[in-house]
Amino acid sequence: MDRESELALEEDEPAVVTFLVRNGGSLERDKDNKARYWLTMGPRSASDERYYVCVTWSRYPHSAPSVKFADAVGGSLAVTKAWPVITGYRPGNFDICKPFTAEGYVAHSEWASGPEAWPATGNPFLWVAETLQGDLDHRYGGRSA
Amino acid sequence: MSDENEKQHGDVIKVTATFSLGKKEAFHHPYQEATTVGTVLTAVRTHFEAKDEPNVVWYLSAHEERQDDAKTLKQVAGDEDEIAFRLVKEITQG
Repeated sequence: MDRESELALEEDEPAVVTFLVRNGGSLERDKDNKARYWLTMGPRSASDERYYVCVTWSRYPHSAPSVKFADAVGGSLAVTKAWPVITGYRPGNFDICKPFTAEGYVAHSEWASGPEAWPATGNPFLWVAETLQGDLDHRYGGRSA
Repeated sequence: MSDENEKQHGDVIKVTATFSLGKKEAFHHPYQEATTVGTVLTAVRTHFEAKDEPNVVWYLSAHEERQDDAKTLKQVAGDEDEIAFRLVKEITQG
């Protein structure tokens, strides 16, 4: 990751920490990869459930991050049970097919422009965290098998 | 005396709203406590130039909960005389 991205992430990170903590979660930056963060989150309707989200940036804030669920902070990204059941979240493919992830933009090249285009303004890292929390709070259908 | 002060204090609620993707500074405005969340949402969206888009829902969140447009600011604020809202852009596509 380039130095500009690194500095921009460091600037936006505190707001993400504040948001996650207020929602009972937490944020950890990967020890070996400065472009990677581990978000611990849970749905409001099932407060005992914890999900570990691996968010990896390439160019921040200019490109959408890779977003995957893991079985622990620093854990495996290939465990279907680590995923929540939410429309657009595809545990079988280990990806989220929505216009806030790198995987979604690869699957839908038409999202590159128009209303689904990646928003590079403000604090997109916070928006990704808000979007994940919103999906967990309002569209959660339990844990994937 | 204190009842009068509380009454005067309670008539107006100071509203602040932030938006994670906003290009502008936070929204600040005092409102009468009977004002609805929907009215504030309209003003906040105008401030942040948040337009209608397909597959996107806009709403205000306070106390980490989505706030219904029909609620009054008094209902959201409770005993407080200020509210910190977040404008949320939620994608429904997937």
